[in-house]
Amino acid sequence: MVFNTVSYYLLFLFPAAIAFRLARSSSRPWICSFFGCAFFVFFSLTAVGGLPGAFCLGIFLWETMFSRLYRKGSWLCWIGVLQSIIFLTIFKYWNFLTGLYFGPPDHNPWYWKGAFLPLGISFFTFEFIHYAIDRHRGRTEAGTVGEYMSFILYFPTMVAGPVKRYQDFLPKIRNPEQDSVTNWRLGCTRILSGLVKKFAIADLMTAFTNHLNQADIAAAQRWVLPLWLLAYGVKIYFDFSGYSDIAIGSARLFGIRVPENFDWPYFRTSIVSFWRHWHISLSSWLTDYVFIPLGGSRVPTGRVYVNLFVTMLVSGIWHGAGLNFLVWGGWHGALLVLHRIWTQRVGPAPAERPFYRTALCCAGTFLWVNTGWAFFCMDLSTVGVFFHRLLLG
Amino acid sequence: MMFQVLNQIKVTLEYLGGVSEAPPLKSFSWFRGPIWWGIWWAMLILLTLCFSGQTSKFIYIDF
Amino acid sequence: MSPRAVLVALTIAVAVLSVADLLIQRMAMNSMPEQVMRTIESAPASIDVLAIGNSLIAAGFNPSVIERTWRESGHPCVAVNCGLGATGVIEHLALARLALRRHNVKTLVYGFFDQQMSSDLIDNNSDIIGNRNILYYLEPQLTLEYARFNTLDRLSFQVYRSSALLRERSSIWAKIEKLRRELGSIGMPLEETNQFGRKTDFGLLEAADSQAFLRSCEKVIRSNDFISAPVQALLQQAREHGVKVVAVEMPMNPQHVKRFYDQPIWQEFRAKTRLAVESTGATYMNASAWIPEEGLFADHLHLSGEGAKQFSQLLAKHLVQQPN
Repeated sequence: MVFNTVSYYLLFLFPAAIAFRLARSSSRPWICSFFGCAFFVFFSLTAVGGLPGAFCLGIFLWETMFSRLYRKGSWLCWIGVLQSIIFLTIFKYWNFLTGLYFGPPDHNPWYWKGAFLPLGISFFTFEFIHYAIDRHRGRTEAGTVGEYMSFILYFPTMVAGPVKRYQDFLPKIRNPEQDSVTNWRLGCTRILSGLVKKFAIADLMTAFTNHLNQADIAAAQRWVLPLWLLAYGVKIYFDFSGYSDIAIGSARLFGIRVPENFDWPYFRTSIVSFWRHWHISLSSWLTDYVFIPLGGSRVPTGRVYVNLFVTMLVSGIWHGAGLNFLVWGGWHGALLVLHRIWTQRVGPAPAERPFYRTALCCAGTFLWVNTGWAFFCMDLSTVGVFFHRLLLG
Repeated sequence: MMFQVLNQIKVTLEYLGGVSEAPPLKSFSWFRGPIWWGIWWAMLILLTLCFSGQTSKFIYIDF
Repeated sequence: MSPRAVLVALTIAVAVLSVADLLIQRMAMNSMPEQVMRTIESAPASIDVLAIGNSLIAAGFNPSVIERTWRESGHPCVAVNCGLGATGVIEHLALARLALRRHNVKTLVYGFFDQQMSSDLIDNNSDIIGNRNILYYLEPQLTLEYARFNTLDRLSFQVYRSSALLRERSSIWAKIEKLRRELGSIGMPLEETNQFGRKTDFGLLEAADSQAFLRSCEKVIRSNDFISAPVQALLQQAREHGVKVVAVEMPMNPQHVKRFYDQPIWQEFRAKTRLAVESTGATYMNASAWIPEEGLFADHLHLSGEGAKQFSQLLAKHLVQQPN
């Protein structure tokens, strides 16, 4: 965890934000790039990956050089997309994929014993892919080398998002907001709120969620099992939205606004609405680069369902290299499909409705979402034990 | 009525969390004051400090 | 908000934090380290038996039994227990120096187990939590001398010393940890606890298995560093004050003895540690097998109340028989 270290604030955030403010406009992208490189190397060495992880800075440098070849309609953009997928597959999914074929590590001749994840790989590869595709479509300008480097190496959002869009980021790095006092006031407040969400709420919930293993599930009284799952739902929201708050607040110190990532998702009245307000930057990325290229909603109904389901499977596997994550994605895919079928049968929800109906819809949505978290936080055999104990004793 | 109350709570929490810039209600003018913000920031820092030790491995709790 | 208003807000925030700092400072005046320091300071000018060590001594050394046993042998006795749970060798040195400065100590009993005397040093400022925060205010220069700090740790040590909120952070954390344990225990079978915490947790202070124990013994034997610098300083400074020092290998749970001490490597380790201790002029006393009944142990490592009485009685008899 990076955002809870003193080093993040004293060595990176405050010096970088101050240097950014004081620098000439032409130097600002290089300030971001420099601190981004230093951030990546420092936290790779101290937190994730060690020396091999630090050498993965080369991925960014390679991407910077290769991205200069992108043009509208050029096939090189697709090479760029493929590269990013290869990086992600090797580092994140190698042992999972080879394990599917060969079995456990002891029987897997291709098992990578020292596997590690470069810092923020799930996020920066998505930003690489977005840039390559949007350059191919002519939806974004190239920007200078410094501007693109500052985009991919922007350290407040490097570790846990939000997933940025280059065409949103570029005007902000060129003309950051000048009201430093307001930006620092709100940025620091946002960072502190994020830290409180993370420590005071999310981490406290681990008192319950640490029990989500087979031994404790078997030993516990049945009535406490839903409480543990509920605690996980609370924990993951406050944990992730806390990180996002810190990232967004950190960016605010630079006078740069990055996309919001959570908008009261647990108070939404349908699963579709939930996904529009949960991890918003990822959902919109998946919509633009998976769902729509598959055909989106402009295909026959059956294909739409398949597109929804596949998009959520991609979401699931992106979250983690495990079958349980695939099942979690499939769970949400199925919910989205069912919701679509339901809406087509009975029509869309009325704009105005009594409070109790809204509350029931919220509660129902929350129940489905929270049940799905079981697949997210436990492996499949433990999920089986959990639901067996919960439902059958 | 309930929607309004809930919306007000939402707007207030967003203001306190630094998400929005405008205070929730004109009548909550003291929310805008520096004294309130100073106390609020100190509380957030204290809460962070109090709860940030959860990754520490406690075996002994006799102190 | 105008810049001036933000400055006012920051000033108010600093003021609130300062008040919180003062409150924490007041509340920390009754912490365990403070209590042990007060025990030393309020002890009579002449102490016959002073016990220093971690929780094994805190739980195992019963001063009233020591005093009674000595009296029955015709020797009056003042015994003081300065054991402090979850502490290491630098803290023990600091407490010993405090006692030696203020009192005339005749015998110093230093209790240890496994490879404690050769290791237990501090690597980071973040290690100084719980009772170890005594290092922030009792002879902090000892920590700077003996801890394995890098520059950043040295700097943060000094910063943390200056604020009660940072110094006593783990006291607050302990309350949150207790809350977490309460929450975690909802719907779960009750876990056995003792004065120090959850019984099963103390298994974590032992080596993971006999192989790990073997490796740690071999490492010390290869380095020939059986007594760490703070312990050497403690033994040496006690001798300079004319104190008879007895390094006691504390009674161990029979399971622990069977798991780890039956290995030949441990016999070699013990023999070499004894030589190292005796070369400083101190006496080495092997009490690891003095309490063979498992029922007299509160957990994997600590003696129960009854076990402490038996151990203290045996220790007192041994001490009273030793020549001065």
